[in-house]
Amino acid sequence: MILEASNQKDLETVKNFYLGRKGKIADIIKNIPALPENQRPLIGKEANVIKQQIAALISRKQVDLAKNLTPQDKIDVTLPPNRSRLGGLHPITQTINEIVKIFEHIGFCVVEGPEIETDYYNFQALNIPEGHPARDGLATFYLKDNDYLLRSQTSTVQIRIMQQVKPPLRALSPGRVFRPDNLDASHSFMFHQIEGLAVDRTTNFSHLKASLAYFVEKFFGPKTGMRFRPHYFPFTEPSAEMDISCIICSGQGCSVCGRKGWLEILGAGMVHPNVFKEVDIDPEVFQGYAFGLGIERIAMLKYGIDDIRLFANNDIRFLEQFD
Amino acid sequence: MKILLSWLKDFIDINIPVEELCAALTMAGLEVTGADAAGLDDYLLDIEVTPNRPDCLSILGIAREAALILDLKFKHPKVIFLPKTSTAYIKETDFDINIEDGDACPRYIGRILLNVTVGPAPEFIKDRLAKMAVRSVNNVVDITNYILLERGQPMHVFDYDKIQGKQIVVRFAKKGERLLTIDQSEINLDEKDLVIADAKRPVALAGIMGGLETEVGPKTSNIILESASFNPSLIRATARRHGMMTEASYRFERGVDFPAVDSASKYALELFRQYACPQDKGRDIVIDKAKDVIKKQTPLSSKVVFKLQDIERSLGTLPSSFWIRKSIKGLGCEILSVAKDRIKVQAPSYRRDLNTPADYIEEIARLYGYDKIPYKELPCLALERELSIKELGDWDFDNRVKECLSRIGLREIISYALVSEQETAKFHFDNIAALDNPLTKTYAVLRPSMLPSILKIFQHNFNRSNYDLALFELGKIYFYDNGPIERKAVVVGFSGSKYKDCFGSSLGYNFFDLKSALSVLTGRFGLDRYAVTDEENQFFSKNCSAAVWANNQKLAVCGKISESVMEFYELKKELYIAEIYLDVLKYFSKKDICYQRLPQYPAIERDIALILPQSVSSQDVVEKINNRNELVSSIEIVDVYQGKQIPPDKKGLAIRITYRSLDRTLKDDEVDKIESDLKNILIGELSCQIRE
Repeated sequence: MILEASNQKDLETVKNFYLGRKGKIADIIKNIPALPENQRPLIGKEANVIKQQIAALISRKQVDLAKNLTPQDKIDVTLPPNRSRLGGLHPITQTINEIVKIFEHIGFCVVEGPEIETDYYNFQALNIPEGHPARDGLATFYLKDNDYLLRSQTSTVQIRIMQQVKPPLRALSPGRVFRPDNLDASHSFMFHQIEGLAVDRTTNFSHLKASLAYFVEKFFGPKTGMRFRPHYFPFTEPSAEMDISCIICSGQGCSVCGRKGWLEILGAGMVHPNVFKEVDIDPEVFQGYAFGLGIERIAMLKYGIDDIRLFANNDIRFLEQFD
Repeated sequence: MKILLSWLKDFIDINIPVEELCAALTMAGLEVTGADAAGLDDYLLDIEVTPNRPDCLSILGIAREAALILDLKFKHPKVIFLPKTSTAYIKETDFDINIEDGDACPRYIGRILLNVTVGPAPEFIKDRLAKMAVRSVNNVVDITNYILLERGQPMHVFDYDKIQGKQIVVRFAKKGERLLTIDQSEINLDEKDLVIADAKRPVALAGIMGGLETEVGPKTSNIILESASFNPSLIRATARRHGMMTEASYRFERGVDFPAVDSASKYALELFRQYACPQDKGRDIVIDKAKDVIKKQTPLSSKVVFKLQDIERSLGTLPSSFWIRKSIKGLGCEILSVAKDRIKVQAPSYRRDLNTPADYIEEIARLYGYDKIPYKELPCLALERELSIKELGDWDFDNRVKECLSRIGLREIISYALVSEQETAKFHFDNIAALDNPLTKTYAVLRPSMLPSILKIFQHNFNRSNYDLALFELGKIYFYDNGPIERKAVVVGFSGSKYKDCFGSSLGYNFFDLKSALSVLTGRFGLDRYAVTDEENQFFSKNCSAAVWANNQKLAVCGKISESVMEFYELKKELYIAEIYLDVLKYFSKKDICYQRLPQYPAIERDIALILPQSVSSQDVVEKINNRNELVSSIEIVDVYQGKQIPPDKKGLAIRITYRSLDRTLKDDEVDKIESDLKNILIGELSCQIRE
């Protein structure tokens, strides 16, 4: 029977027939106690010898068969893998982490602030008094039955940091912000921003330019073009917006950049003296820069995502693409 | 702000292609966001004017700015001298202007024009308005709109004969007053709304929109032309209160140029003379009264002294002092004095935003060109500064939590922190932080629990046939109790199966996967002891719902989502969720990693099979024998069974005890002794039987 086996499977059957737990040899050994006492040692010994001989024959046959495998012997190696699951971080977290890592290299560390804020932190301390037209661009959610609001920008943390730590300082603050914008492909009532703040005795606009240039080079790649445009923010002066050359069309002009070849990615500027006065820092002694950018926007540009809602839908097939 | 290129050319001779013009404006702070063709060889530029630059909300303002940026000659509009007026109608057209509050309305010019012919506006006005997307009404209205666009001064025209009592009163509205505006909407006026009134009633919402009853129509022949200046924040508040944002309110909110109130009124008169004259010769528009009431001079911006070093200190570079002086003059500023390195300057009436040295530094930087400012690397920051800042916040801790959970195969999600009032009511949350002005009912309350958020993410995925999920989110939960409260929490959720192969075997997630995630976290942060108790929860099934405690503080709740919650969220598959409170975890976490020597001597493992009353938990068993003997190095549960051999009110539990000494090899009889002691404790204190 052993020699007749033409493949591994047949051989396995034969092996079980003789040597298995309920096989012929096991049967014999099991019945030994029922034999007359004088026969027991002999039969036991014989059984063991036969067992070893059969095992040797089988293993020799196995080697023979292995030299000449038949299709039945092989497993189908093309069957799918057992599923194993990789955990992972959300693309927004990944983007924040990447930005933080870049700025950590130049001495920034991360500070967080509350999301439920007061008018003072969200507006007044940032040089946006009641009735200021800049409030138009910063529509805000208010809480019911009290004077609190949901911060509409992470710039609030500038004030909170400087109230607690006196310069020199360099800090980053990522977090959620809220604005009453209806959901569509490019707007959301909740999104993420990251705020940067560097204050020292001599930190000036040229440091701001170099820091952000370093960020662009690391984040978008060394060939990315960049430019600073004058702009207006109440809490910085001079203020700037930074554009990078469109990463989709390399500055040639496409639908993403509105045929301009440039993409606006952040706002920045030198901290306004009024902001320093608000936190009891003497603007004659200290100066510094601040910048803020939208994480969703940066991530959408970097990965070519065309709908901001995908981040909050958390479809697993979307999330798994960022491993 | 839309700007017609050909109109701009009334004031400057532009000799460069439109693309270059757009780029130059953009790089000087007037970002051109679009340039669309508007007829033959003409363009409509869309310029984003920042809120600090009301002077650029007109063709003239943009032209003045472009002339400066491109170094072109700015052709000032000609100054208008008025002819002598007839005195024949003085009595007939007597009228008063009465301003109640000079802060609300610093200046009001009312100009009466008689014998105006209302008809179509001339073609060039109609054409320019059309290209700027302003609807043509009639010559009178079109002329005021034309001047609004060109000069930035909003004006309004009343039908003189419909004004009662020969007076214009600028006052606050009275309680209960109403106004029907020219866009046919009826407004209930607020006592904080500034109105233009006649002797009896409001006839316009000041600086925003005129009233229908005194509107100029085809039969109008006598008019009052209003040109005024109003308090910006007052106009802003009223415009928002009534949801009426108009071209006029847009400019008044930001502030109009004080001298332009007069020059625009005179410009209007000139255009009326040309384009709204009576057809029959011999009669001219008669100006009887032009009353200019100045209640309060709007102050010029402050005189500012700044040092050249201030510029260098802020920008990191210093243009030549010649260039700086030239630029300041180019801005229309007056240089009052120059002493050594100090310059004293004053801005023109239309640049009331220039009040501090920083304002001038920004102007200089802008005109110099941000691209010419050099790049300089930040110097190193002292390490102790970094460390002291790092103490503020949970960034590192949170990141370790996320990393830890993703390492064991969980996928991070980020969901909306707002949930519906329906959800907070259903789950009986107290002290919720609700929004006063939510966009929709779906997102109206800050979440008091992470569960509603993650359940909706499961729902979204289930509806797309993604069933096998292991998710987590690190976020905040929010309350309001005499002040806002934000707590960091992590929610972990499992559904479907964690393992599948093509031979038909699979392994579904269950409650103990939650405990596994929890123990990985507690282990990671060195929280070595926690207790789990049965505790009901509004989200979980009664038979699978627990609370986890660290030193009597609630560290987490976990369980299987109940059927009623599944129904509420339309969840088709069962799922297990834990909410872990990070403030508690962080409080009990140990910061430092401390190496422990690996054992040098072999361990002895012994299994004990127990039969226990159903009421005794595995945690009871382990705690009973834990810490009884220092040679016991671990206690593991290796089997839980019920079946034929076990009475129905009992359960079987197999535990494996590992004995180990750090300084010698244990002997069997030593272990026998300890084992029998432990058995006696279990038998005596927990009514256990030992299966031999």
